[in-house]
Amino acid sequence: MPEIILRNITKRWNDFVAVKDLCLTIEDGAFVTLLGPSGCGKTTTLRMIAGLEAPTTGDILIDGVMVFSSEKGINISAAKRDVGFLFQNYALWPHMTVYQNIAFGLETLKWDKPAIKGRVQEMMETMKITQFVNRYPSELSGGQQQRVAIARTLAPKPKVLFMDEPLSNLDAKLRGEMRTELKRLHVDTGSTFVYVTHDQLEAMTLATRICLMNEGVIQQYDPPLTVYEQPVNVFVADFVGNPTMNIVSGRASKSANAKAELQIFGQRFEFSSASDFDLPSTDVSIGIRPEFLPISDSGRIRGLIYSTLPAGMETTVKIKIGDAILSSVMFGSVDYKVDSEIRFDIFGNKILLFDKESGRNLAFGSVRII
Amino acid sequence: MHYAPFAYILMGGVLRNMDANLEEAATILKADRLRIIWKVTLPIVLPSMISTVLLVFSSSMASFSVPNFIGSPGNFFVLSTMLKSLYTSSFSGQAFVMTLVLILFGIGFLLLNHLVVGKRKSFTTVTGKSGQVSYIRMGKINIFISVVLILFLVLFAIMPLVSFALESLCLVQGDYSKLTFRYWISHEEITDLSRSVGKGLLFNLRLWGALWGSVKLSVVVALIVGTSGFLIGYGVARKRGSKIADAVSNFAFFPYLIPTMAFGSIWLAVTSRIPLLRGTFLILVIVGAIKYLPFASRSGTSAMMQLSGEIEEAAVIVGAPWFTRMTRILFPIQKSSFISGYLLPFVSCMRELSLFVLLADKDSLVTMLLSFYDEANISQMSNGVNLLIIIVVLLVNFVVNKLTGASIDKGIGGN
Repeated sequence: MPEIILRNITKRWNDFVAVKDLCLTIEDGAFVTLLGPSGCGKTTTLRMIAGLEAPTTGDILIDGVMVFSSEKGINISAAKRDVGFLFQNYALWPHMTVYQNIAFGLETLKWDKPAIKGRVQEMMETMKITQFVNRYPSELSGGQQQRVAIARTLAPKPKVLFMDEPLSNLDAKLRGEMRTELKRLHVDTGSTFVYVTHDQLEAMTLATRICLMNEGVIQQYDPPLTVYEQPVNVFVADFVGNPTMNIVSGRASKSANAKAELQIFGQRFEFSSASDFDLPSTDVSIGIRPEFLPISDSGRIRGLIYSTLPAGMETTVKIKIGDAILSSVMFGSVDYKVDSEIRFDIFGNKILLFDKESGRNLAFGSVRII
Repeated sequence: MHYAPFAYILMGGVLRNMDANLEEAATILKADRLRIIWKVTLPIVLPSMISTVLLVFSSSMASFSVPNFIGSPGNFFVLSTMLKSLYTSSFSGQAFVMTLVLILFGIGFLLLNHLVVGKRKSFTTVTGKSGQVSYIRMGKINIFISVVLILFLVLFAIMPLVSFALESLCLVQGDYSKLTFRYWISHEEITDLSRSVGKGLLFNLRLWGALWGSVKLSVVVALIVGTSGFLIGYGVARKRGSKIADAVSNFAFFPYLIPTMAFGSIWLAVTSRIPLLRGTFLILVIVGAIKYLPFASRSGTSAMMQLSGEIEEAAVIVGAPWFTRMTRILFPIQKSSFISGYLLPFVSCMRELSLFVLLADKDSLVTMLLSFYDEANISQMSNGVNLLIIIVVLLVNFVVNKLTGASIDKGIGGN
């Protein structure tokens, strides 16, 4: 099974650099999501690996085979890379029935008739679309079309499956269902999946590794939980997680080995990490996930309720403290009166310390009021 | 009348592609119907409307056949008929000057069109994603408009057919009291007003030869033009937005703006240098192909533009080679557009006179023969020939429609 290696990939359109000097290794059998805001170069990267777009410079290897090299002038066509591609709007051929759509790829591979028939039948059963065999794409709902598209893509048994925001055209409920099925499909087929999305939740829930990009540059390439808990910079911290992470400006000075004194919300705190860290400047940002701000009567920090957003299972509480508005999440449904005073704490050992100027993560640890 | 279908085809496509949401948004804002049409619909389609008007103007400017048949008896001369008469009276120097004038007009219109459309181009690319079509409720006016339109159609489209048929049966021109099939089925040479006219139409070898010549020419031209149009459309759509694509599509459109007569006379000048080509089938094919290319390339381009690149990429991924992708994916999806890219050149070529009038022998094409009968004032024969042309065109259209399920009017604007 294949491993995909990208070396120093750059893609330029005239003066615009879409992807800059990108190096990435996608392990065999991985489910990698390329995550980032729109225009960050994630789709371009995917299309370059699939062979639908040629990089300006760099090398791409799939399964040890050089499929693209700007130096050696190699560019193997998409057809010969043995990959599948699932398009955002499915790109089903409107003049063909479901059967014909799925069978088309097998016909071009010159499978014999009974084999095609068997494989199409098998795919339709897997995707639960057997009853639509003779329908045209326009006679199917979005979710059904999506299933046909998946069946069509998987039918020739590609070694690698590329997906470009395949769920973004579905409604929220269906999206949830399809996520579950895609994850199962990944296990069942054992193929390598590369998945583009701008939805951090999708990336978190599906991927074995997230590759987070911004402005054509990889920010972080790690398993989802690492990206969530130990973001390398403020951009990653802010992009991943919902509600978004609280990022508070403050001042810091080293107080001891692996310890610093913090000034935030007009109060003094002690930050302590597991290992020592550098503090390039006194200007810092502190990153606190909403779940690390528990509200309780015994809390040691005072704030005012700015607004409360109960969603049934959990409630997001917006707390005003000084100039800042913080998000806190608590389990269950609660409703606080606006402008009432509450108390909360900063909890846990995953509080992040960033350099304010570069946004780089300096350390993570716990915070204690002093 | 002659150009109305053309305008309909161009405008219909634009209107059909306009996003109904745009109008709906205005409805929500409590704008009334008239206001919507005036303030929203018109400005959006204005560029293409103006360009349609300009194009129709420039092509009627160059039109030869209509003024030739209708205008010459009443001494209503236009540039193009003048041109022909200058050629026939061998004032070729003056004729070429006239050609230049016609070309300048054409280029002028191209520039004007570019100025108007170019500035507001963003509007013309309103592509319809919204599939909902909301019909205007017109109530009783609806019936009124329908009746007027039907009358209009009967008066101007069906009536001539009937009159062609009747006229060709008249024993004496214009006298409907005595009808005869003489001009159709006579085995003998007909002598009319002491001139020999030839055998009856159905047995007239000269006519069948000319008809066959026209069909052959039209088929060859249509095949060349339709295929090139498809390929040009493909190329332009693939490189959409790039300078090359713009250049190609403008270049392919250029022959359209050279008035037909001028075009013929240019090629006459060319063939006078290369006597080998003179009056051959080949030169007619070349001229016809170039002349009708703009239309096919436009319809090809607009059809291709409607297909997202992903449709083709999906086939690339599964390893379908180029030819398979063209014949099994792209062509069938926009079948009606592409078929009309073949049919329209065929139809136009069948009826074309102005383009070939300077280049062909009078026996080689049916329209040439028609013009000859007309000049000789044998209206029974010329009307009969007219009817035959119309029947052939309708027949081919019908057969192609039946075989492919595509129709000419649906094709240009997309589905």
